[in-house]
Amino acid sequence: MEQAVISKADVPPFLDALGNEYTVFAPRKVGGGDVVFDRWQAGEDIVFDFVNTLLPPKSLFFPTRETLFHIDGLRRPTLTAPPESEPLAIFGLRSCDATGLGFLNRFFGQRGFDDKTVTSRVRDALKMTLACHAPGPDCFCVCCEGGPFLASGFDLQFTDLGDRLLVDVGTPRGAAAIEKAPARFAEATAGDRDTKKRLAARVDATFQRRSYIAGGMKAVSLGKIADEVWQVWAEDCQGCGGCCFVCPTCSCFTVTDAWRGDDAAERERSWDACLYAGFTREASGHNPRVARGERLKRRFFHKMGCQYAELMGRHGCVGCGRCVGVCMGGLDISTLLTRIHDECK
Amino acid sequence: MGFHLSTCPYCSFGCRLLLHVENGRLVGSHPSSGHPVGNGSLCMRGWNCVEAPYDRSRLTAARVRRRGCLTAVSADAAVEEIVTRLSTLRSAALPGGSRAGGQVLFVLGPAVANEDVLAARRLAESLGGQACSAEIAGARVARDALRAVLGRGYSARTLDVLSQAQVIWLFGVDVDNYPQVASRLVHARRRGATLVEFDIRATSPRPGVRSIPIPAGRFGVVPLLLQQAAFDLDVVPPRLRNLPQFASVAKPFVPGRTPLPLGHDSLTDDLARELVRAFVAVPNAAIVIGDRWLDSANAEEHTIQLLQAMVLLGAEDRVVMATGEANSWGAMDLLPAQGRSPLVDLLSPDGPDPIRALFIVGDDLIRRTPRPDALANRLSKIETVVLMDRFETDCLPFADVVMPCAAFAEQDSSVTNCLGMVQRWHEAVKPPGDARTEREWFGAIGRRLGLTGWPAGAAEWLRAAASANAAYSSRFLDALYGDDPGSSVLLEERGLITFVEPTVPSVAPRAVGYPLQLHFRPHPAFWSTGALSEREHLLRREATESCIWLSPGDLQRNRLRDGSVARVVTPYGEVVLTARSDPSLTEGFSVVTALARSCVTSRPDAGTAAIAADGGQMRGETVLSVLRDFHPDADGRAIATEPVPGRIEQV
Repeated sequence: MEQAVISKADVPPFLDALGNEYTVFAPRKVGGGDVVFDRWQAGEDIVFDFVNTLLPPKSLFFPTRETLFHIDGLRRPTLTAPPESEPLAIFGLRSCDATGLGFLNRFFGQRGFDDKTVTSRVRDALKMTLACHAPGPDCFCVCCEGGPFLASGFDLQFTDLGDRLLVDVGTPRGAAAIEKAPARFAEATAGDRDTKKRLAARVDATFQRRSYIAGGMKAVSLGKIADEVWQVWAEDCQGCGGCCFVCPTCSCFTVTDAWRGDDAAERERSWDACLYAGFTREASGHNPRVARGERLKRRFFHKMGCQYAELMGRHGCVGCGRCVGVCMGGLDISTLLTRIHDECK
Repeated sequence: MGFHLSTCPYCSFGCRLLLHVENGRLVGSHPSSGHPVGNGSLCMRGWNCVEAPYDRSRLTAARVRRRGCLTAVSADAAVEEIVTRLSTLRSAALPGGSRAGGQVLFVLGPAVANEDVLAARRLAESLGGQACSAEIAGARVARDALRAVLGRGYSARTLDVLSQAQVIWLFGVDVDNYPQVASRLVHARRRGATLVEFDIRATSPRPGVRSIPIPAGRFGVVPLLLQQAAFDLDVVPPRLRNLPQFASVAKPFVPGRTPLPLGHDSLTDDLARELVRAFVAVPNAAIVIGDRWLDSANAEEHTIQLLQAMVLLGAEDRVVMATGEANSWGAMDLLPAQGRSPLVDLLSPDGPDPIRALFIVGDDLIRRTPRPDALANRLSKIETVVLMDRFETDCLPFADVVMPCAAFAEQDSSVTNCLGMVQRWHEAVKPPGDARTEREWFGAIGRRLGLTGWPAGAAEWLRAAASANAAYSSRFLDALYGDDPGSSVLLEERGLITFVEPTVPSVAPRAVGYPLQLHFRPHPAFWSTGALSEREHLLRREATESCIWLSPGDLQRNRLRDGSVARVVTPYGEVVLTARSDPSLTEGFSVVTALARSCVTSRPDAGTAAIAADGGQMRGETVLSVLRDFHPDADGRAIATEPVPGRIEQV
């Protein structure tokens, strides 16, 4: 079955059925009204009415802090990798985040080195996206080939039709997932398909935000923006690093050794941010990007530079709009690309 | 896995955040949307605040000093040790042993929650002692001025006053320390608002920002010039004219008066009038007062006068005080009013009623005081020093008993921000080892001493707050500790404006032979390194360079190159530092960044020697403290924000 329908009431039992094979994550509303991905608890209600989660799902695959291996005994150290975690099933991924996950997987695994701590999790995960037909005021995936509906990059794509969901089956893994609870699904009708088509056709016009991606890529790649301009723009940057943390495609990290008692340690990987001065500081003390303007330029070059787009198969923004909400200095991708469009002719 | 709402503990604005817990460990903090301060964002400190509870210097075991060494003991044994020591003191003070006289002092830092402040106060008063806040400048100066002029502890109640303002005046604001203020200013500027900076240096030109440099020691004339302009332009609201002492305020400024000898180069009478005219022409002009202003010499007087100027301009409800730490304002709300005696003097062994037992609660007094050596000397003479903290501090060597305390994410408590908003800390993880809240420790001591009134719950403690401060009325407490974990409450305060007669500050003599103004500040690397790494330890290892940043012109004039070594001479001493170029600096103004224990002393090379002696430790504030030992205005100032005259000599 390439397309199916499932009633909203049947989604929780379906997720329950997946629990035998996967650790299931789904959106959950937490205090303050934010929505986050959290472990699915049997019997829990599903949250459908949200624009997007506070953080992208990258933290499930590339945790904020993670032990890479344990070191026991300092004289004759033995290294032990932590046990592998169960495969994940994630329900409610927005299209932009699923696209970001693909980018992250390519960064960690498809450039001649396969970092399995991330890629195996992505590869083994069941990705169930929830297509958008009511984008938020910060969303601009429509400009970034990040959504709002996907043609690929998912195992199952759900479209909200009101009391039921249309399900696009994207991979054999997705089809196998449906087989875990086949009674919950029915064949999609022509009417269901038409409703989805109408939603998809209508949604593009509802985006309130636009982004000048092509012009931005050109200006950044061809060096059309003077260093002094980056410096002036960077005066508004508060250096919080939030844009990197909330970005579905950002992968900055640092590696440290943490002592665990006198004779043991752990090598840990934790998120970092390329906008922090310490990120590029070298062991000698030299820092090639000591000024904030240089770091801002670097970030945008990494996101929008054609060289990186060629390497990664696409530019580094999926239009989720989280940086719009989190940036204290109004230097998010969308706003800055607009400034490039307006000010750097 | 779980997510818990809490409040960032790293500045006095208190952004709401969402703590992410995995396997009983904090792994991340994220901004919580819809909060009036954070508004869905966090600064670097907020994003990384989950690191601190796992710092290597974290205290997890109770300790008691035995034969000169601090030895780990059980929590009960630590309580017993304190009870024995306090009982001895009480017996010695009065034959009946009913009180300990004024010999017990509790000094509370800004990271101590409201409920713990109340518990400390209760124990102190039960023992006949006193509890006071560790704040020595900044927030204390701001709050005292607000109380003196407005009759209440808070002015602006939301940062929206900045978001909406069309004119914003900034007085000595270091926006790097308060990114939420900086963020509002960025957006105000983009909306077309005009910003006017009154500060000790001129900033580089930016559209929409007017910079008015105020020479060192001359902050005091600014509010007088503004008041004078308000009277000259006749913009003082008529409603003020019947208020007490209005006539005494107006007196120096009546038309036809002899001009005040304010003698200001960059802020002339005409310019002051122009600024005031623009300020009152819009309905929502606002001001921000920052630490550089509040820590400067005679800040008490000129902050009162600045607030008075705002009253005259009708903007007294739109003053943002960018100063203080997590609960600086709550601690001051809930502790008795205290004098301005520096802590060192309070601990003098020569007074009529010397302190014999000192509880240092949640603060590193030695790093905070302007006179660390003098304070260390005093601490070494006190019979009983109890250290209650989350981390090993510079006070640890003087402690007789150590009680490890819970960090912000390990307790259910409340804190009050500088806008008068009471918010919650929620227990996201359990405290490690013997660590617990201060109120739990105080309760254990109190109960063991036979004292009553030690409730277990945070809500019960906060209900007692109304007796300490009427603004903390119990009617809102149910909401704060109710079902909504994200609830917050704005304190309700009504004040009465009282005018304070201005005095014209004397003009400080200009230093001759010292063409540079040296501005001391902690190393900028302090908050700018890798994200969730062990920040402080990395910095201690990597960033040990102290240097002087000069404009390219000053660098050339002194025949220096970027990276060469310079001897920096001040009236108080000299030090050898690496010279660095900073094109953003104006000529004649330099910034000395310092990480080690000494910077400017009477000994040549003392700074370099001290860096080595100090093991390369990062002690920016301590450096400044040492400097201030030589500074005539050192007492009562948290940071050496007053520039020091200096010159460069060849090494």
